[in-house]
Amino acid sequence: MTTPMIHRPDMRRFGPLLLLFLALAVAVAPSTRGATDRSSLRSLTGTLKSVDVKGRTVVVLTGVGHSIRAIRLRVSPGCRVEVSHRPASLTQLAPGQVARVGYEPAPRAAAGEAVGAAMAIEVSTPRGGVR
Amino acid sequence: MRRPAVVSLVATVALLGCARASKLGDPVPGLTPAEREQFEQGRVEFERVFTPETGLGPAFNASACAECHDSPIPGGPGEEAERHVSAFRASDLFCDPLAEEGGPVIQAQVTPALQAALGVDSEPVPGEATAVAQRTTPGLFGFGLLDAVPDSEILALADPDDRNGDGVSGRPNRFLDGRIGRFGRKAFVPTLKEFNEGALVIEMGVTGPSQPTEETLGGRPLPEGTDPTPDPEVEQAAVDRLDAFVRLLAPPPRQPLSRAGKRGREVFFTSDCNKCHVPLLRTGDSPVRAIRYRPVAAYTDLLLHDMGQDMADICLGEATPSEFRTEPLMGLGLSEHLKEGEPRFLHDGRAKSIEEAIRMHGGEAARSRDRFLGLSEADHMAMLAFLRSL
Ligand code: HEC
Ligand code: HEC
Repeated sequence: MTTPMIHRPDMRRFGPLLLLFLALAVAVAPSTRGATDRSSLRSLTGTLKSVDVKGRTVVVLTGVGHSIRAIRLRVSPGCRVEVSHRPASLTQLAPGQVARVGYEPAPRAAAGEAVGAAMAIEVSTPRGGVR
Repeated sequence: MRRPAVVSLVATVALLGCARASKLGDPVPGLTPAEREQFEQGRVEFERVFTPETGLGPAFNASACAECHDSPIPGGPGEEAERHVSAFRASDLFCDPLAEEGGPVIQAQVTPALQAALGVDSEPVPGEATAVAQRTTPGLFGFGLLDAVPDSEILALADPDDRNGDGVSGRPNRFLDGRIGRFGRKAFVPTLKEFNEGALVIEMGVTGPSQPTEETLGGRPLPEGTDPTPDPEVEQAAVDRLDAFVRLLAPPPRQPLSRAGKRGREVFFTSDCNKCHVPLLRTGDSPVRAIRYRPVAAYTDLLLHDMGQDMADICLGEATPSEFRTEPLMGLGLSEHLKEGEPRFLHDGRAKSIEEAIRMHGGEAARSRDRFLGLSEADHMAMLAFLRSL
């Protein structure tokens, strides 16, 4: 009931992000005793609906056709944020931007709760939404 | 300068036959036996009536695709209309489809179990909505060909800043992940497959593998026991059959042009209708040979145009409230003879005749509309004869 829509990553577009995930996975694997293995990392691409810098959460809109879902994610402490391929901070993210998010899914999330912890957020266009 | 191009274009359309059906509701000609079989089985899925036991609801608009898309046969336009909502935030120009509040599609019905649990018989319109849009049911004949038109073809027609100064400035919409959209009146949805998969959930409350979560009622979690069927409620193979039916439906057969119709075709071009209702698009590569590299005489550019404030309703994706996709004109005449209800045109059915629909064009289409209004009575009739032949 609460699984978000998962996109199978397209290797060409997601190559750099995947490498980043792999690096992260390798880096954190020993400390979490294998809990963060490669296969558990997911990614989604959607439009940022809101960014709560203080509360460290983002809400991303994804969907299938006109069936749209708001996916809530915690932003993990080590989360890497990039805007236009440059390191950035959460404050540079804004509603309307298209973001690729790599995240570690939460084991169980009830409706309205964060479905996972974002490890990487990549925005390729600084602007977004309606002109 | 434009005329020779126009004449050769029309000749091409006539010569190539545009993969049209010989009979309304037929599949595109030239399918393999396996594709034909998939199409026939897909029709069964399109007509399949869901019940709460087989996955209907808890919130839904109808119990079958063919309950709405029914005139004169499954896949056609229909009399049913539904409501869409969104919130257009002027502060940062963000279009919120109100997904957390139950949008953008509002479900008009609920199952008895949900009715008993919540005491409501439809989804409420969220208070946050800045607009509520009425959406009539369009016909789907030939939409598989529109799906196969490459993005590059659509982008080549775009002129967002009106560089050529003709007052017409089409631009593509984009989906949530940045891909170019083309389906739905706001051209929000990039592919036919996603539209069909999404329709199962928003229209019938039937979850599938690609969208395994139910629509909520106003964003509230569904009460325990109101959604007894385990998700996904249909298997991918059934979704694929459904998709094949819609995808392989041929464009409606074109009516032979009377003498008036031929004159109408001329005034269609001289009135600049073709600037948005582009007569011919070409498909690109496709796994289905019968729709690969074909012309499709859909009379659309699949782009958004500002139609003026009188037309405005919701925003969706990058589409502002007054922007709409150029409605394909193939099969236009079908909406004059719905199984039930009066003829109706435009996104919300506000126009009761084809002529009224043209009169209501505003914004970027105002100049072209005025040309139409300036025509003689005979040329008006000629234009209508042409449009009905599509
Ligand atoms: C309650 C009535 C209703 C039902 C049931 C319904 N539709 Fe629709 N359909 C609509 C409306 C209304 C629209 C126009 C939406 C818009 O313009 O944004 C539409 C649009 C579409 C489109 C896009 C056409 C275009 O103009 O781009 C497709 C494809 C489609 N429907 C397929 C389906 C399929 C497949 C099913 C069954 C799974 C289905 N519909 C069930 C009402 C319905
Ligand atoms: C600037 C672009 C533009 C021009 C020029 C234009 N149209 Fe349209 N047309 C549209 C759009 C966009 C829609 C869809 C509006 C809606 O859904 O409410 C539309 C809808 C229509 C419809 C209703 C289709 C339906 O199924 O409801 C008809 C008929 C039509 N146009 C005919 C014409 C004719 C005839 C002309 C020339 C006199 C013309 N249009 C010029 C953009 C244009």
